[in-house]
Formats: sequence, C-alpha cells, structure tokens
Amino acid sequence: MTLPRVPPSVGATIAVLSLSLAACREETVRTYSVAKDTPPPAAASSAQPASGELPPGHPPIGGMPPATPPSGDASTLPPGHPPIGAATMAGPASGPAAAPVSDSLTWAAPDHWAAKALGPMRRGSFTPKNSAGEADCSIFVFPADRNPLLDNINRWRGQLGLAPITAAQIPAETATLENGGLKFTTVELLGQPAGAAAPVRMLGAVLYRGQEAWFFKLSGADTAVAAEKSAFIDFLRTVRPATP
Amino acid sequence: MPASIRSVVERLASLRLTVVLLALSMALVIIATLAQVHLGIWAVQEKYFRSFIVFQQLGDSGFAVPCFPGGYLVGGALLINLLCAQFLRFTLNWRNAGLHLTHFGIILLLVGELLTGLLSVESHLTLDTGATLNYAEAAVARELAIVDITDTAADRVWTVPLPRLASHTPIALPGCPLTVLPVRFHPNATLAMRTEAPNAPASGATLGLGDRVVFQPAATTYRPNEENAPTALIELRTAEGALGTMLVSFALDEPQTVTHSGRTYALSLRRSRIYFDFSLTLVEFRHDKYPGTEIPRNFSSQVRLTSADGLEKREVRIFMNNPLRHGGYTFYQSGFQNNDRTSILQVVRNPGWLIPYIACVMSGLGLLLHFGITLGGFLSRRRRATA
Repeated sequence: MTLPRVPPSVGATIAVLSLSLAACREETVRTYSVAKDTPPPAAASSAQPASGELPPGHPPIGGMPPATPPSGDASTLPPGHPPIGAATMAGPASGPAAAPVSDSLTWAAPDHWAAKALGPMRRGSFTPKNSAGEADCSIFVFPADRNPLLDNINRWRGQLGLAPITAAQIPAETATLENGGLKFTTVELLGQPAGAAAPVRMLGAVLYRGQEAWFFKLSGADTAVAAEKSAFIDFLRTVRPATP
Repeated sequence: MPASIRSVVERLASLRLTVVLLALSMALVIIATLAQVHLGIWAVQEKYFRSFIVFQQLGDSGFAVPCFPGGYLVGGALLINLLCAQFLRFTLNWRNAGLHLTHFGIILLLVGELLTGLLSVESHLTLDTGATLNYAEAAVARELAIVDITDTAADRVWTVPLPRLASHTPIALPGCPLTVLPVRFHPNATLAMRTEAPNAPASGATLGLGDRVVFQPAATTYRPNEENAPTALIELRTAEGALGTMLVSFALDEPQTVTHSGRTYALSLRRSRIYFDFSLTLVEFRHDKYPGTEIPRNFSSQVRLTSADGLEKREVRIFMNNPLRHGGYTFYQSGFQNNDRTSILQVVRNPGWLIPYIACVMSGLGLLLHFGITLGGFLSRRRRATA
C-alpha cells in the first residue's frame, strides 16, 4: 500500500521554524513575590555614607568570593559517581568590557625585603626592613586610560597632606628612570598625613605600558624609607617584561 | 512542484551534503573538545554547539571573526537535509517502513537536542541539615535582583538577566518606580576596600557601598575551581530623576539598599534562582565509608518534600543513580561540604528528557525492521530460486 506523499516544503518549513526557535533566549525581566527567606539588611540612606566601614554584618571584601558549593569535595567521590563541580565553571562571558590588566612584568626584590601576602589588588607586596624601621612596598596595575599621571601624583601628595600640583609642575617634581624599554616617572614626597605622629616619606614610580599603568610605591617612616632609596631604585631596574 | 523549487530541494536533499555536514559535525566535536582545555565545558557549549556561527577573537583586539559553522547551523542543516531527503526520495510504503522509522528517529534526536538546548535548565540546591529551601540556584547564570523588602510578610522581586547589563540600554522594571541604566559591565572583576587600594580609581558609585569599595576588571576565568565575579555599575533612575549609581558585583555577599518614596529596595548580583511550588528539607546527609577505610562507599540525602499547600509531605532518599523526580525537576546527589552537614543536589529541568530515549528506540526498531524486511525478501527469493 502506498501512502500519500508529503510536500518537501512542509519538512523544510518545520526545520526552519525549529531553527528560528534557537534564536529565542529568555532575557526578559522577571517579576514575582516570595516569602522572606533571610532577614533584610539594615536599610541605608541613598546617600553615600562618609564612613570607610562596611555596613554591620557585611562580610569582608577582597578578592573573589569563595568558590562555592556545587564543587563539593569532588576528590573524595566514589568511583563512577556523577561529576561534581560543573557549576563552578566560568560562565559564558558576554558584553563589552574594559581590557583587563595583566601580569606582564616581573621583578626581583632585594634579599632583605620580606615578601608578604598580596592584597586583593596588589601584584607585589614587600616589607623592607632596616635599622631605622619598616616600610611598605606595593605594586599595583590599573587601566592606563583611567589613571593619568597628574591625578596619581596628586593622589599620592594628598595621602601625605601635600597640596596638589599642576601639569606644568610635573617636570620639576618628577624624575625619569629608564630601564631597557621601560620608562618610569619617579617622585619622592615627604609630608605628614593628618593624624600621623611623624613625617612619612614616599618613593613612587609610575610606568605606562600599553593599556596598563603600573604603580610602584615605597612608603613609611621618613628615615626607614630614606634608607631604602637606593634599594628601591635598584629594584626598579630589575623590572622586566614577563614575555620579552 | 515547480522545477526551480524541485531543483533547490534536490540540492538540499543531496547525499553529498549529508556527508559534508557529518564531516563538519565531527570536526566541530573535535575542535570543541580541544577548546575545553581553555574554555571549560559551559563556555564551549555556548560557543560551539549552541550557536549558529563560531566566532574567534583576533588576539586582544576585541574583534571577532566567524571561523566555523556552529552546532545550530550544522544540526539545522542536517535536519533540513534529512527532511528533504525523506520527503523527496522515499516513497511512503510498508517496504520502506524501517527506513522511515530510522529517519524519524534521527530527526527526533536532532529536534530533541534543540529543545534540550533551549529549554533545559541546570541548577544546584545547597541544603544544610535541617534547612528548608524552595528554590535552586543556576549553575552558570547570574542575575541582578532588585527586591522590595519594605513589607514584612513577603518580598517583591524583579530579576534582570546578566546579558541585559551589558547592553547599556535602560531596563524598565514593571510595577517598580525604579529604572536601571547599566553604565559599565565587566564579566569578571576583583574587588577591594578603598583602604586596601588607595590608588585605585574611583568606582563611580554614589549609592550603597559607594566609593568604599573599588574594583579592577579581570580576565574571564574558565578554570574549574574558580568563579567569575561579574561586576556592574548601574544608575538607578526614577520618574523624578536619577537616584545615583551603585556598584553591584557577584563578589559582594550582602545586598545593598536604596530607599525611594518610603520603600526600601535591596539590590544584589546573585546566582539566578529557580523557584519551585514545593520545598525540600534536608533531614540527614550520609557519607558512608567502607569499614576500616576512608574510601567513600555511598552518599545519600534524606529529604522531606512539602508541597506549597502543605497537603503533600513525604520523605525521600536521594543517592547515586536514584534521583528524586518531582514537579518536572530531577534532583541528583551531587556533592557535599561543611563536614558532611551540607548536601548539594544537582537540579535538572529538561522537558525533552524522554526524546533521546524515544528517538534511539525508534531508530533501533527501524533498523531491525529494515534488515528484517530485507532478510525476509532475500530468503523468499532464495527459496523461490531453489524451488
């Protein structure tokens, strides 16, 4: 027995409709009501609080949130157990983003500089120790387009309670240090921040490299930093591109 | 059928096209498998299989060029090819019934994968012993949640999918006086207190945590033990004007609040939530070991399922290969943490989960039928020849 033939256009239409469905992804705003599942956080004013503290009960901020849950203790699962941890994989990235800064430089710190734990944004962190005391050396990198030199110099000056300078004063207030193809703009500042008992000295160096602005800063008690000045300059000379 | 249309259909039904498409499918699977080394399984699925065209970034230029047909294109073309061949080449008669059944099985398999890609949702339910939850959290998707927490009985929630934050177009919230205007969006970022990074540029936020928290865009990570922290700077507008800007990030654990017209809204960037019309309570989690060893023998969760109206209440044990299926969701034992006090259940909702089984059975039966008919014909011809 022969059955009636179905026009091929019907099949093609079904296929095209199926494909067009693929373009439909739900990206709409959803609205719903739910019972409260956690105590509401304390309501804050819409104005920015002046305090530098987090709201009561807020966990400390710094770095990534703990890589959570779904991964579990995968290494101890029995043989044949379904894989764990898919949910902690990075999700698809979408949308425009500023070029992320990279770890494109290397350096060698003097032997007497003790490396310490990196903060969430520090790329390098050391404690130079000498007979005059301790100082703090930090290395940061930020997008160059949002960190003009003058703004940073004045930010550092502001931290030491010094008045800001103008662009015309930059040559007089800074020096240049060349290291291979890298050109550092260095400053040396001495001031007394509000509330500080003693003067604070700061040695700073700014390096613009492509889309990155690198900041090397040594700060601390006047004499402790002054004693490390030559070590800091030598340290800057060890900075190299990670990939030549 | 007009000759011109018939010519097009014949080309679409070409066996040569079938071979090319199958070769492309195999190449796509190999390329995507290799790409998992750098991208991880989720990103690979989106980039290679759930796309029409695979785009490749040119270095750091941010410029992407099409480099390979994606899964939807290859699968869709195979579907069209198969349908055209089916309707053009094969006459619908009982002698070809096996072939028809096999082809429809393959068509069903292709459509089933499409439906799975579009409709399935994978999430996780993390339950502490004694805790009750009526929602799961998506494995990958994140959302901006704006919750009106003013009322004491219930919260009104508006959720915005993450891709909308990258669009830089105003997002209206139906029934809410606030409008969200995304100002900046980063798929991953590192956050720090201003006091820890005094030189960091201002975040630009004026609401909530304001400038007390600074952020740094970071490269998207695909490592299995790391998570991205999507971060956005959003402006909150009302009919009267802008309230200000707020930094929202997955790295911030607590919501930030803003008050407008006597109502308080809590904003957070969190894992997308999927609410059920029932709740689960973890009664007990068991982590059994072989006697005298630390080798795990079994993981299981004893959960109490309670319907929204409270009429249905029963206890279920979930363990390996024995998931709980309820309300269109399947709950698998997935992991644990917190010294065996917290159980992690993988929650899958896939309306098309039966389709691959049906498709494989159809194809298998079709092949058996076709070979049976062919064998029968051969044997009867042989009998006639020897008679």
